[in-house]
Amino acid sequence: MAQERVKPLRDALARLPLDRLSPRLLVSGHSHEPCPVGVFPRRGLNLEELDASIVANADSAQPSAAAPVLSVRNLHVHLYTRRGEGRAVDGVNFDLHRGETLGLVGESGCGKSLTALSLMGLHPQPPARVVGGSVLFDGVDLVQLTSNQLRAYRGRRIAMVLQDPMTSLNPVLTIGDQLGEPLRLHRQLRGRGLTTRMLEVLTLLRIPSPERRLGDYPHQFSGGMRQRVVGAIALSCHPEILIADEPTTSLDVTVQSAYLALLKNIQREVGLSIIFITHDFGIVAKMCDRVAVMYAGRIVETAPTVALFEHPGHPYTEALLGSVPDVRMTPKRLRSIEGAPPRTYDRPSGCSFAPRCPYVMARCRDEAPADVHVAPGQTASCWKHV
Amino acid sequence: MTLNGAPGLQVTQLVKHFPVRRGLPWARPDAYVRAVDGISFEVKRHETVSLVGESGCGKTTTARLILRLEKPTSGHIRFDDRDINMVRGSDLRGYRASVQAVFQDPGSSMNPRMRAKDIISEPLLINQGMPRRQRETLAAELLETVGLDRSLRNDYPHEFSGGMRQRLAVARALSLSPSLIVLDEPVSALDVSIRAQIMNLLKDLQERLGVAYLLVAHDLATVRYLSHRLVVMYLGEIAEAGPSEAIFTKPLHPYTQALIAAALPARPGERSTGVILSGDLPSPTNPPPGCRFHTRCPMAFERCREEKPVMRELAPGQRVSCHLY
Repeated sequence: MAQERVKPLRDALARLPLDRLSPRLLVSGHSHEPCPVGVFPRRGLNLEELDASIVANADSAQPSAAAPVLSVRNLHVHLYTRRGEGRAVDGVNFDLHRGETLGLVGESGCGKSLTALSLMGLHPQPPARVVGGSVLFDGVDLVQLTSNQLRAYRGRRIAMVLQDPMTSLNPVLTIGDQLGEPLRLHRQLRGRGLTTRMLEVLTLLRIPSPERRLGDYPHQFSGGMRQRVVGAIALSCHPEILIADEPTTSLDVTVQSAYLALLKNIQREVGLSIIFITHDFGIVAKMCDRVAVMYAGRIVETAPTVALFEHPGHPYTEALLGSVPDVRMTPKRLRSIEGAPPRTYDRPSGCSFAPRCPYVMARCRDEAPADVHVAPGQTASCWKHV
Repeated sequence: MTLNGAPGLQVTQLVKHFPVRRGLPWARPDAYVRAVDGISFEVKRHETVSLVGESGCGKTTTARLILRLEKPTSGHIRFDDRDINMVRGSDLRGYRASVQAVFQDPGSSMNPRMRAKDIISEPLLINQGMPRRQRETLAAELLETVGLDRSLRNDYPHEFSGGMRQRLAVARALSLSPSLIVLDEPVSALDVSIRAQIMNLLKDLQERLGVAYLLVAHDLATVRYLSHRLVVMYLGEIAEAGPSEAIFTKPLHPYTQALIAAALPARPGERSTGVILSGDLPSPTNPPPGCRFHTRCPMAFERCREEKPVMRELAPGQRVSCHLY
């Protein structure tokens, strides 16, 4: 209980805009050179202009239709605390294509949420710091941008939905206030235009009688409806990418399945690319086109969903799938993975899964495996396939 | 305590209403939250009975009533043929020793300043006044029973991972050799790879020690894996109860059907059959008249809105409360 009470405070502290109080050292690429701060003036940031420049950049960069919307290359996010340096995200690579849902699956502490947060510079700093890699979105490396420059992307072109809707909504502001904020800020909507758009989005999320609910406060909504409101806020500005970090964990099964079905429909309607972070293979099976499995800060396997379930390439994926009970089958004894994932601050050398792996070889303990192509679109980082 | 096959726990017409007051604590209540509203079921020895349903259906309240953490408004809970709300003194202590609990978050149910061996053996000190030397030996044995190494006995809870802490909680629950353990969401806070370990542990312990479980969980896959019998609750009432496999293969109540349909598939492409429920659970303060499920039921007809269905046994051991049958 005590821990739960401290958490909101800690979160609030982590969210303090420290970068506005002191010049922020934004570390880019593999070097530790600080970037210049404040390319844009603090106030009066002209988003339309920035938008135009971004569009121009994109055209010159990669006009190919098959190019990914987002591509993450060798992303390293480290934690700096009293316990030393923790390589929480340790060289993550993935691509997100237009209109697809990519599942980022892993157990707690594997770095999946930190990866997602760092895409838009939302990781808590300190203790986390992006120490290397790039996040290419529309020809721009988001890692290189300052927090002010990132505002043109956050909520506008890349939106996020987090686990617990109650912590993402402000309890003392009405839904209308909170839904209107991104629209006023990013789309410069006012008055009737604003209301129309707000009602449009609430209708998109199938919130009954939206005109009556704009003046309601978050506590007047049920858990499932609250999560829809958060979804409405996220989708209000027509983002190209939605990052959903375990959005249904706090919901009931019945509400969850309705929410997931709705999200799928909306994705088809508006053509959204989704990064879906979860630990639940059921959600992956239902929602995702492709899956990236994370373990101890690395992506150990990437595969199309069906391939992943049919022939998992990495022993970790295989073991995880074997340890999930199936509601629609008479129970068989589950194969459990012995041991626990390594701690962030002392990872084994070589393959992180080696201590728990049933196929472990001498090589696994000394050398970290490279990504190996196993099947079309499927890569696994395991020495087994070499 | 009693012979095998004898009824372990019997719940009859159990009711728990919580008063809702707007004014001062002694003011007349404005309304009552009807958390549990007349439920009956039993847990036999050596078996696992699961309470399932959405949040707010009263499953946790039922578990708390059985643990005597709440007093029922009416109805009886009998354990080994004695009403648990009537027992006093040493009999009450005996009851507490034979019914133990494991909760969702093992971290918050342990004193952070106590060592593992003390956490596990505290019930022995309190209930039996067992001397220190003997307690330490038993604690070490219990650690091994739940698959932890003896050498961890001097560690503090924070030094354990989530899964290990849940093992510790199980060890503590086992220390008094109870005949029933109430498991309130025992694996939902754990990681996927750890969940299977704990579920297998619980199964093995039941086989070895013959302990009965009352499982409260919302994840149906977990429930199907562990239970022998199910009690499906909706708004404080039982919608359907019966043998687990019978219900999972042929759910009869529309609510059970919807719950199972809403459960996520284990593989891609696996189609769930049945309807997705719309809307939320109605307020338990003012439950709908007639069948409580009629507001969300895809099969509801006139009679459901007016008349409360009675529980009927439609298949061996499978009781359903629905007008369809």
